[in-house]
Amino acid sequence: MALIEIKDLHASVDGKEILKGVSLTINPGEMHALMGPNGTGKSTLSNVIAGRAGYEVTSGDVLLEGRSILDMEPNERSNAGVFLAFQYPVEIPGVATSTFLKAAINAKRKFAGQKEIDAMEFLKLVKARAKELNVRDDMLKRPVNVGFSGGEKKRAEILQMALLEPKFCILDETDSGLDIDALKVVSDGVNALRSADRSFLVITHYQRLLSYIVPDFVHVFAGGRIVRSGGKELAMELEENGYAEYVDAA
Amino acid sequence: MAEAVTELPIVANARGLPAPGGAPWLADLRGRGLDAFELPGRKTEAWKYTRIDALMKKTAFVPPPLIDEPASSDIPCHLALGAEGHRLVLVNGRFSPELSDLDALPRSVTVQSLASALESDPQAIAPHLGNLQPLEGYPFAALNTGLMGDGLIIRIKDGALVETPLHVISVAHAPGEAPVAFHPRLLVMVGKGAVATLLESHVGVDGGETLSNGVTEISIGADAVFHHYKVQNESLKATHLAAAQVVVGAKAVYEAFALSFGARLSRHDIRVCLDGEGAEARVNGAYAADTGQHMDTSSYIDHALPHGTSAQTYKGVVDGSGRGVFQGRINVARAAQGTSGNQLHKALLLSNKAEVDAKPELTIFADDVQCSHGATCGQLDDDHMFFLRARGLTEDEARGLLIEGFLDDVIDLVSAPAVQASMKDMVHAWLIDRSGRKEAA
Repeated sequence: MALIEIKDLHASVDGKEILKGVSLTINPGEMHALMGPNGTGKSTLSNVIAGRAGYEVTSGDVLLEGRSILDMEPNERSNAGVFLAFQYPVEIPGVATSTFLKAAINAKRKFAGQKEIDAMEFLKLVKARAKELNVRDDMLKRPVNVGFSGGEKKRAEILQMALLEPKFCILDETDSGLDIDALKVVSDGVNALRSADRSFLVITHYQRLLSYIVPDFVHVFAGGRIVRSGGKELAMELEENGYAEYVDAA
Repeated sequence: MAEAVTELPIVANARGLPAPGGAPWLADLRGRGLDAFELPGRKTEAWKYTRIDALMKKTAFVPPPLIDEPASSDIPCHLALGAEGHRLVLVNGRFSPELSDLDALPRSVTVQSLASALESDPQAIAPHLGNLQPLEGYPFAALNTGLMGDGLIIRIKDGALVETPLHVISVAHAPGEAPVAFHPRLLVMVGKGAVATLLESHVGVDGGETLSNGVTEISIGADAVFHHYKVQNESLKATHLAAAQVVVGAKAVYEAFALSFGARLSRHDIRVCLDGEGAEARVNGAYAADTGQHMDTSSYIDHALPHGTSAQTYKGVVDGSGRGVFQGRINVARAAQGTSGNQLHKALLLSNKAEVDAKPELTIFADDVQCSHGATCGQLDDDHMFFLRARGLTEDEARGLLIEGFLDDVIDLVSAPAVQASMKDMVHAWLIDRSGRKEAA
């Protein structure tokens, strides 16, 4: 069974239609890249899937393992296995990163009917995952994303992904604002999380991320829907020729 | 006007009590206090957001009865700061040697009850008592001056390094039917170059209505570092009025933090005078008010001499039909060149009925100054909420974490780690209580 099925999805913001019939099927273990010019609705798609308020789905559906998620609250979608890595992770003064991570882990455990994680186990788990992602211990003590560099913020997102072990991950412009070193660390983190039953949708404007995270499928997004799909070679073609033909066509 | 005031139960009922120590200067000071007391009303600018006249007129407050003190085990210690300290307990404003812990005090610190000082050697405190607290413009401090009988006198010697904080635990307790009023007085003298910390915990034992009307006078010698952390956690039948007057000497540092959760009506007046070159004040606080609560913080930082620094950050969370008030005044005298004075008040409103009034006021007479003030009032950030919910937290969990973070953020300004941790525990406990109340409702 497909992990994610997006079926002819139409969505509006303030009465203006942004998504104009998006259809996409992602099977377990697949890495999909969604590429396209800015302002065509790529982030809208990720927000609609994650359940952000302010978007009205006018028709179509999004199924996770065959079950519609559109009536679910954002936390229910998260606990069911959907993870959105944000393009602009928010800074939350006063909330220590470790406190937040523990709350997120416990929310998922509660949902699964498990008891809360104990302090020692939590510390061990977080430190191990943080080390793999080059996230320093002092970052865990600092408030969520406050004073983090662009690269640190994105690493923190991947750390959350690693701890919550979602089924379906959306990376929304994760490469924006990253230098090459940070891009490598983040990509290594994502690649380490690839598995036979976990799938990814990587949203990006540039091909460079896809040199590090190699997709199985590439989709061109323009005018509120997918206008072309292909293999990884499509990304190279886009890098050379740009999006002009798709923008014009849309 | 004067007749009306003396007819107020709180004044009338206190009259005729034997005054401890009959020194003429004291009788004179008390008389001036009562003369200066005028019940603030609609037209009193400094009290326009905090109306207390109706409560004072209708409630028949009596002085605390001479009852057996509550047992040590009855004092709600969980409501007091959890940090280590030399315990100095006041029950309804009266010093309790039995509940206090004076044995371990270092030699560089002397603690005496005001009542015993007035009895044994009143002349020794004559120059200090009432020396800092103005009577004009502080009606309830004037009332305290008129009716004070007990409290604490704390002296810290020059150059003393006092490692363990002094912890004043003020217990409000009305065991009978009658509403009880008391007027504790604290006099703190910090010697030159001394380093010390004072904790104040104001708690209530379950019972009837109480009114705590305290005055604290603190003088800080040159080069000293004095930390002053207060928690107000009285019962919802309590009224808590407090005025602190602080004078900071040259190159001395005064760091204060006031955290309020309790009382149905509270007013925290703090005035700090930077009275020496290069004096520094960090005066911060936080409050959480729910339905049936009104919390007022009124601060006045007076830069009297050059190169003083003051920084103030206050944060308040107001829920239900609760109300918060912040009045912050900074005065920079003509002589106070090179002053830096900053002030910020941020309020988080959690319901449509919650209300906050903020009134910053800057009066600047010097020309080489850097001053700022800011006040914001808002709701929880939608982007923060979505981020947390996208990580699996329910709406309530996300709100709770953000409210806690909002207050913890300012508590981070407390430089004593144990006090900071205890205050954060209190915020956490308040949130758990809050969700309990929401479920019950």
